[in-house]
Amino acid sequence: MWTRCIEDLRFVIGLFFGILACILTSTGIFHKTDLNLMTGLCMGCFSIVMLFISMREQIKSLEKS
Amino acid sequence: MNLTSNLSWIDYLIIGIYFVFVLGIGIFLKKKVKNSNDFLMSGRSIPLWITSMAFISANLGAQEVIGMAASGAKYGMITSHFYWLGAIPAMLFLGVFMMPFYYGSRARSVPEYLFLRFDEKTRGFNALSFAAMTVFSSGVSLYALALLLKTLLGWSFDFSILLSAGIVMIYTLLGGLTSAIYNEVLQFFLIVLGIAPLVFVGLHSVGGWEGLQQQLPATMTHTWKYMSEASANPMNVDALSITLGLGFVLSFGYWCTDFLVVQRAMVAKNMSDAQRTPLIAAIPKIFLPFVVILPGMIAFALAQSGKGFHLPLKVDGRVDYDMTLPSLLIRFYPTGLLGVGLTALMASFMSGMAGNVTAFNSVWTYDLYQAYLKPHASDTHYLKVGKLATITGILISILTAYLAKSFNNIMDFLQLVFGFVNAPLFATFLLGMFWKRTTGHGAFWGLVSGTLGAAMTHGITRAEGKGGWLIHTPIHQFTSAMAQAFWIAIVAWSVCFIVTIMISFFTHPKPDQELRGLVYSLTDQPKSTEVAWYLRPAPLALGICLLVIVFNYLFF
Repeated sequence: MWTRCIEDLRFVIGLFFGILACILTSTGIFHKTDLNLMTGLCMGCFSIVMLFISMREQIKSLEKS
Repeated sequence: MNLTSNLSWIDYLIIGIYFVFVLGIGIFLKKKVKNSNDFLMSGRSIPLWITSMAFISANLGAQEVIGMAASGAKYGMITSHFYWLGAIPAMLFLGVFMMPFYYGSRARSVPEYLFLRFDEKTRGFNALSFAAMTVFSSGVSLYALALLLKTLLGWSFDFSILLSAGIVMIYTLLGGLTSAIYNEVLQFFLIVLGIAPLVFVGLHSVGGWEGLQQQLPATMTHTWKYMSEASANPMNVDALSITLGLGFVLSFGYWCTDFLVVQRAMVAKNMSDAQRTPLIAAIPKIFLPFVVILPGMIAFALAQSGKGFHLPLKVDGRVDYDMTLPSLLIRFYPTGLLGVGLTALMASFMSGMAGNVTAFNSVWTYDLYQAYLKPHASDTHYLKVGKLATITGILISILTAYLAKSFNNIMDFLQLVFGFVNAPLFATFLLGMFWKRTTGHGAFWGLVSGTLGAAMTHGITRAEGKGGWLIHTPIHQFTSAMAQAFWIAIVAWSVCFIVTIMISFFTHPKPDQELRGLVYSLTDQPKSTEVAWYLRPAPLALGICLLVIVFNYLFF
């Protein structure tokens, strides 16, 4: 399952932006920079959408097989 | 300008994470490369959303991100002609009319289509000129990236070149075209999400769109209103030359015939996806001016408003428009987001370079090596040649980057050569795909004449000190170098078009049965019945066309 996920580009993109979102949100909170916080939250939403689509596709293909 | 002291470990961490992901994609895709088709053509198995994003990202290189922001600061909203006039119509034409021939003919490259449609010499001419252009273009991209890293991060020129070229080489060599395409998609999202906050905060600081309009001259906030005369707009180009030169010849010449972008559609899973690749890519392309041009306009407005922001200057005191976007990043982005912004800039350069290198290795392997040097070797041999071509392409790019460092005008020269080669090529394709009487001799001599016509026009005219090398007193002085470039393209296209027709009338065309699948009148049009009607190429193209008309009207 994880190997299949890693091979899906949506998962990789979701993971990448998820990490960036965590970094930006934390710097936004600890350094009190609104721009980092807002961008971090937006990237986080984007990341969740990509990860969700990827996982849904993987589950679908597993069910089919 | 030196940013080294302003970058914290968080910014470097973000840059490092990006490098890890880029290389990781290459490593994970390595096991999928089993033959030359996988390495050079991605096994024609890439899903539509990936080919579409890669299609737009392959063009989202240095010239686009840095150059369009620079043009935004210099010319304003008029720069959006490079999108709404100079890209979208050509992308729609490629998707609806040309992809059926590229994909349906099963050609592996644009030069190979020329071979199937015309003959060997036409393929050879295009393959050679394209291969040379791509590696030089990749080198110029590398040079610009190294210069940026040196200026912003304080890294040495040599280290920047070796690091960037090394990373592109590793991921391209491991995963081939698939790796380059996957990375282009990641880079696309990074560029958009990394630069979009700048537009938000920049617009906020100048008082929104209304505030921006108040602080900029009216000529910088409209697209068509001041185009009736060249002297009335900052670009010094009139409506006729921009419509014919950019909107027709140059844009169709680039988007419809340049293998670098067409390759992304050719690796789609099926004909329907191949046709829809440039159409889907056109949708985000319509909105890109707001990400890449608007920051330049914001920078100009900020500089005018006296809020302590100044446009960056060169050593000689002139405005360095190319540094507009980086200087805005420094101004607005805090630690963390600055790392994202800089990584987005690096991504744009690397995606441009990887795009060029992957197009080069395909054309070298299929259209030069297999066609002329070793036609009947095993697939394993061609896979090795493809990998060697990747390494060689990157080494030549490094060499070109150092050449660009030594000769200031090499970028202008290359830009000029692109115009000479791409403009007549569209005439060849237009006639080849839509007029079955066009012959191989006509196409070849048309291309040669068009290229010579372009060179001669440059030699006998002058603009901003450029051109006029053929005669002592130039016969025409253009209002700007851009107007000159547009007219050179128009002449090149016209000469190629006329010469191809004339020679075709005096030479024998191929029989109809050899042209099936290659020429419009002899090919059954594909029917995309498996998707909803509104997702089929023609309705999709119509919808996008209407959208682009709306944008032209809104910013008229």
